[in-house]
This record gives sequence, structure tokens and C-alpha cells, in this order.
Amino acid sequence: MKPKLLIAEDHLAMRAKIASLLNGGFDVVASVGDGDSAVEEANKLMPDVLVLDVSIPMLSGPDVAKRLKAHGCKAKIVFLSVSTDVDQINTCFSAGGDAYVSKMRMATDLSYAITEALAGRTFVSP
Amino acid sequence: MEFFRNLLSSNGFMSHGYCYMWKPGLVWLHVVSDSLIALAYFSIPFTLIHFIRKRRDLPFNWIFVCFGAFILACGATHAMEIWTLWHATYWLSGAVKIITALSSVPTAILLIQVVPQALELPSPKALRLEIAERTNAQEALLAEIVQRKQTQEKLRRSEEELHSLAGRLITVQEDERKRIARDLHDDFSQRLALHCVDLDLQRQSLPVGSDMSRELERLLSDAETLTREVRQIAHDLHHPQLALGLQQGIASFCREFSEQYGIAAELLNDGNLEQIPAAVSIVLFRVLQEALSNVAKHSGSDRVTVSVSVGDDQARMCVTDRGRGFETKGVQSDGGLGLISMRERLRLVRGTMRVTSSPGRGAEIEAVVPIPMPERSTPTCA
Repeated sequence: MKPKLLIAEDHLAMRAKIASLLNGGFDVVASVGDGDSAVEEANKLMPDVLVLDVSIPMLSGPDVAKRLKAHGCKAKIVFLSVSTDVDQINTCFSAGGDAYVSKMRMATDLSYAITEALAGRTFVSP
Repeated sequence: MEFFRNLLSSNGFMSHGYCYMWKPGLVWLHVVSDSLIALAYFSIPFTLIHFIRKRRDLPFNWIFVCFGAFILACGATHAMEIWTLWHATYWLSGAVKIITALSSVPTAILLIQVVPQALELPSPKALRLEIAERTNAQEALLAEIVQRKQTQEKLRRSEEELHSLAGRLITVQEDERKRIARDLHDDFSQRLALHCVDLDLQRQSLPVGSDMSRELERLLSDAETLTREVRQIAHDLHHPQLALGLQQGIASFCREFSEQYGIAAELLNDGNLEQIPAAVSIVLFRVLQEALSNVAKHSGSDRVTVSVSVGDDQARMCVTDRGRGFETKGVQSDGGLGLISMRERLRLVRGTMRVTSSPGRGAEIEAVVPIPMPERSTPTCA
């Protein structure tokens, strides 16, 4: 059975691209465009992995992660961002992230990062 | 004694009454006339004394004293005229007359001397004219003062309006920057990232190590750099941490600056920076960005101190480095180092900037902006 995936990304073309990259190996159960919906859908659908844009509206990526983790959510969280800022990466891992993928490198890194996260390891795009 | 006896005796003379043959009409004509004259003369000095006592400011008031003495003496001669009608004490009468002469002659001479000076005194009419002129001038002056005050008030209001507009300009400009930054970050950089993904996918479909694969890798690398630069521009246009307040904005910017350039930025805060008005905060933040950019580009220093303080009525920010420094004269006049831009920004919020530097002795940029806030501690500059 393919791992269940929830995508949270506000940019539509980017969201479609993420889905197309992951569709083969994962079961994309939902795609949302803001932080509040991400929390709601994650609590409802119980995905194995949450692919979470860092800068989504309503509730930022790290805040979504914190809220889910605080409610005992077991889903692995893979952050996506254009930025490779160290402070931001640290913030994401402190919020409960398992992987951090650069959007520019997600064709190569995203599937691998999800697999690593599911295996209990961390990953950061080089 | 003999002198006084002679003075008070008739010495055989006949009284004046005999000259008038004791004709009652003639005698009484002289008595009444001389009495009235004497009374009038005796009263005049008292009037003069009263007058000069009341008008101590009068010039030549000693002439009134002379007049008083002279008129008193004149009165005495007329009194003697009555006395000598019945008593032939002509020596006494003569003595009174010589006293009158001694007081009248100097008075007459002094009067001649005083007249030219007295003539120079303005007449009441001239004084009235001058008072009227001065009153008119004073009224004109008062009108001008009122007009000037009105003009000053208009100027003050206009200045207030200007600064209010300047404040709005700053916030509008910041909003515009925010909008551009958001567009760059939320859309432009996302689309560039998508291009990177597509390039990466294309590269993956090619044999590893092929020319085309290497070319795509180069294009991907360029696109990544471009994406990062666009993101950096968005970040510079609008520093997200500034939304959390000046203190956090500056702290965050200093930390990023240190990481980016390897220059230790020490931050010293004094007072509650969050009480600085928004427009001033934005200006100080932009000045800090410019000043730190100069430190990174020109100072060669590995350390910079940023000191921000809030005083009784002003906010002060100093950016100090111990780098190679520069000649301030040339730099200030040709607008080098973005100093003119910093000054212009500060001027919008009535702020000023001072640049202190010399070759080999580092540089200090100090920005001071007045803020209407009572009860603050005295600002200090590190």
C-alpha cells in the first residue's frame, strides 16, 4: 500500500507540480492551499506524510507542524521552500519537521526526502 | 542795631498818604490795588511749588523756583506800598525793592539763557503728533505681529501636514515594497523554482555525463542562483521580521548580516524601541540596511556595533565600525555610500544624520530622529 500524502501549497502550479512528481509512488489524499486547511485535513485524513510549504497563508508551515505535533499527529512532515536559509531550516526542524527540501531541487530530492522521513531519518536538500 | 533802627524808622520822611493828600478815594484805590496785586503775587509761588512737585519730570524746574522767589519779592514790594501810605519807612521799602531786584535780574538773565533750550522742547501739539505717529506705528507693528503669527501658524500647520504626508509616503512606500516583495516571493520565485524543477526533470531524462545533461545542470544551477537572488531582493525590499517590531527587525537583520558576511554585529538597545512610531522605525531600519551594506562593502572590518536608543524626545541609532574608514568630505558631497539617500529618508521624519570617519580610524553613522514621547531615559550612543 502506498503511503498517504497530504500536500499543503498555496501556489497552484507548484501544487500541481508536487502532485505530478509524487503521484507514482505515493497516494496523494488531499491538496490544500493554506495552513488552517492543512491542520483540518491532516486531522481528518491521517496522512503518513505531510508535504508542507513553509510560507503558506493563514498558518505558516512551522506553525502547522507545531499544532499537529501538539495534538499527537504521527505524520512525517517534509517542508518545502525556495529558501535555503539556515535559520529557517532550524525553525522547521524545531517545529517537528523531518525533512527540508529546496523547491528548486524537488525533482531530485522530494521523493527521496519522503522515503527517508518514513524510514525515520532526516533529510535536508544539499 | 543802628542799621535796623534806621531801616524801621521814618527818619523824618512823610508817609505816602501825604503825597495823595489823604484823599480817601486815591488812598483806597492804591490800597485795594496793591493788596490784590500782593495777594496774587503771594499766591503764585505756592501754585508754582505745587506744580513742580507734581511734575518732577519737567526740565528747567529750577526756573520755577527763581520765578517763585522773584514773584514773592514783587508781592512784598506791593505790600510795602500799602505800608508806606501810613509809615514812611522808605529804607525798609528800598531794602525790599533791592531784594526784588536781586531776585528778578538773575531770573531775567537765566530766562534768556533757558529760552533757546525751552524752544527746543517739543510743543504739546508736536508731542501729540508724535504720539499719534507712534501710536499708528505701534498699531501697524501689532498688525504685522498678528500677521506674522498667523503666517507662522499657517507655516506650522503646513509643516505638520508635510510631515504627516511624509509619514504617509513612508508607509505607502513600505506597503508598495511589501506588495512587490510578496509578488516576487509568492509568484515570481515559485515560477522560477518550477523552471528549476522542469530543468532537473529534463536533466534526469538524459544519460548521466552527457553534454546536454551537463548543460542542463549548468542552466539549473544558474536558475537556482537567480531564484535565490530574487528571493533576496524580496527579502531586502520587505524584511518580514520588521512586522514584529523594530527591535526584532533589527536583531534579525543583524543576525542575517553576520551570517551572510561573516562580520560580527553587536546590537545594543536602550529603551523600549517599540514605542518608536512606525514611519520612524521603517526609516531607521532602512538606514541600518544601507549603513551595514556599506560596512560589508567598504570597511574591511570584521566587527560592527549597532546601538539603538530611545530618549526623552528622540530615537538615536549609531552604526560604528573599526574598519579602514574614509574621508568624509568627498563622500558627503558626491552622495557616495548612499549617504544622500539615508539623509533624505531621515529628513522625511525630521531626522538628521552625522557621519564621522577618517582613513584608518573606522566610521560612525549616527541617525537622530525626534519623537514626541515623554518620560524616557536619556539616550546614549555607543
